Amino acid sequence: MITLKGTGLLGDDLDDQGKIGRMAFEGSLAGLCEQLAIDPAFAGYLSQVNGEIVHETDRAKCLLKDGDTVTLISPVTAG
Amino acid sequence: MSWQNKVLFVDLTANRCWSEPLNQRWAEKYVGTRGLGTRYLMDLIDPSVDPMSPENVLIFATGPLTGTSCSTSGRWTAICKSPLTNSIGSANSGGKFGAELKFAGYDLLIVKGRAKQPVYLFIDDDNVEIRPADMWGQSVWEADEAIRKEVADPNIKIAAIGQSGENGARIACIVNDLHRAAGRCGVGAVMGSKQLKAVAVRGSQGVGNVADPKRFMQLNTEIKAKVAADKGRQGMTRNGTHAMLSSMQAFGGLPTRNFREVQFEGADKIDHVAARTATDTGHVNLQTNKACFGCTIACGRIAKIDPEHFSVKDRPQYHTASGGLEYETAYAFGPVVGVDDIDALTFAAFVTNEYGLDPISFGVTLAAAMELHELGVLPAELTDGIELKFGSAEALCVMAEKTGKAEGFGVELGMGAKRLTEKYGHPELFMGSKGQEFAGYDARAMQGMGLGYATSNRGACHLKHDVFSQDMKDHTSNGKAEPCKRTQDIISAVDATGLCLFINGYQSFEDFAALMDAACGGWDADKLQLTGERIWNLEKLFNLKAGLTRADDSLPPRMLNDAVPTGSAKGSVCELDKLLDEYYELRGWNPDSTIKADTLARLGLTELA
Repeated sequence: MITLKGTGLLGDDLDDQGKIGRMAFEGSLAGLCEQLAIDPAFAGYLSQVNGEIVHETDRAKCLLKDGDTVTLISPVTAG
Repeated sequence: MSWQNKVLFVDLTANRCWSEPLNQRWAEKYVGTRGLGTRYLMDLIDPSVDPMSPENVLIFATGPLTGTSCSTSGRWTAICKSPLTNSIGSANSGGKFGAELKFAGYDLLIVKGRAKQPVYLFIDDDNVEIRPADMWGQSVWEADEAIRKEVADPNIKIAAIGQSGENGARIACIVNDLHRAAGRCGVGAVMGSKQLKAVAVRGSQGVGNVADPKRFMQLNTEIKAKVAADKGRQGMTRNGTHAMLSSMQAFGGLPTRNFREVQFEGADKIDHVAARTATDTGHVNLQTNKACFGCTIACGRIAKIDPEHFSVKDRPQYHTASGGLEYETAYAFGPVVGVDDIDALTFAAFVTNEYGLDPISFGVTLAAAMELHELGVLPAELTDGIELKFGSAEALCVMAEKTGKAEGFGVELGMGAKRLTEKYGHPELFMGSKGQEFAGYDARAMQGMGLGYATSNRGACHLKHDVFSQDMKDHTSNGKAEPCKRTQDIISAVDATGLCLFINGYQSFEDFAALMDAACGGWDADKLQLTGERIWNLEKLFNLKAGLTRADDSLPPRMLNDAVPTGSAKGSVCELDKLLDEYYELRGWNPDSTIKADTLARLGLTELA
């Protein structure tokens, strides 16, 4: 099982779609985003796995394992 | 054209008001708000003037789209020489005041001189009166109520200063509609220096001279539908800018304890989720959202403080709902001073509105004072017996009130972080640029932001450029100068129209140009962007004439030398010198930051150089 969290402006949107929480998953971070149909623009430019930053370009080689916590960081605009 | 073609002049020294036709040539060239206002300012004052003297001029400027049926058309800007930065002062606000000034028939209100005794200005279309301000010495909220009673109009729109502005606090702002603010650059201090307590305006004329009404309405319908469907817009309506806090915390760009750190351990206690989550006692901080005039985003937050919280216990005047936490207030009363008590943050937000203080500048100045306290430079005996410890909710609440009321150590905080840190021998602890304090983004973790802070004509500002997406994708300085320059030009144009920057994310620049074309005639995106570049260079010219140099396009040593300790940009410093060289080249400026003659000629600014 992995735990998925979302931050910022679009975190709620992912929550509303039932994409936040604990789920069974095997594969890469890119695969997770693809399986959940998370638009890269919504998922932000960065993600974190267990608090460590993973850039968008590194998602494919970031393999997730049981117990990992993935945080999708919403893009930031002026505020 | 949707300009009203009329400028209201008020000379407080001579106790005289009159109107003149708008300079249409300037309107076409500089559009409105900060562009048109700066052009008038250049004509009316010597940029080297003492900003607190009667010779400074305070301009309340609308844009051609202010007050129209466009979404977010409630914007207006206060323009003057800034007493905080000694550069161009420009502070943008929303609410309903700007649209009402337009409805009264004026594109700009220009206030000159200094009144012999405190006054307020009453504008009722063509009837304009300079009236005694018996409410001098009162807060913004008290003055607002007093004026409404005096003019017997509960719907009149009011922009006012509090005691901080009256007493010359250089971080004082102008508050309109109770909790919207022209917040930055100390514009409230300039208003106070003129002994002008408030401007109360009632307009009945509408904005009726749109060039192509049918196309204008059609465009508005289409653009509003697009904005309504945008996921980002929906998130902004639901969460406001407050939601940035959790993203910046995760990213590692959230300034913490006077910018020593970039992630705050108490972030989840003060973020947008905490604001809408009931406490153990059942209290919920966030009550609802609120829109400015004509806005279909409604990012404003309305909040309540727990009546049992120490800051408001037995003070029922604070038990009602008022302006709540947005990102910048949450940052400035939270991480940068190390406080994780959401009710304390909300109290500070209420008080800064009530007394007319820029929350960003106040929070960062208090953070500097807290670091001075840690160094032993500011013991409690120098700060009215209050221990200014990072994390102290009591220090935050007490000092917000003292600064707002210009009492005790609050007078020193009201001078801003640059003057405070210089006075106590540690100028390196000032976190800002050109004398104005940083917003809630670290310039090392976000190097485009660092360049934007350093080159902002009005002093450190996060709203005059937009390199956020590049900064979050890449923490290096590579390729940041071009988008910084380009978006500075675009945002200058967006600001000048009289619409809100926040809709920039949901409607395209071509949409802005189409609206301008339908409203005013003769506009396209290329012309609008060139106009934005002209406005940026006009403001720069003001600064050069005021004596600013490349040395003023600077960042504190902490941003240049101390590596970011955690987060996605761990180990980075801001490579400002490299960025500045590239930026000046792109701008068509010389390495000393003066503007090349061919750039001035291309932008039609040679006559002003």
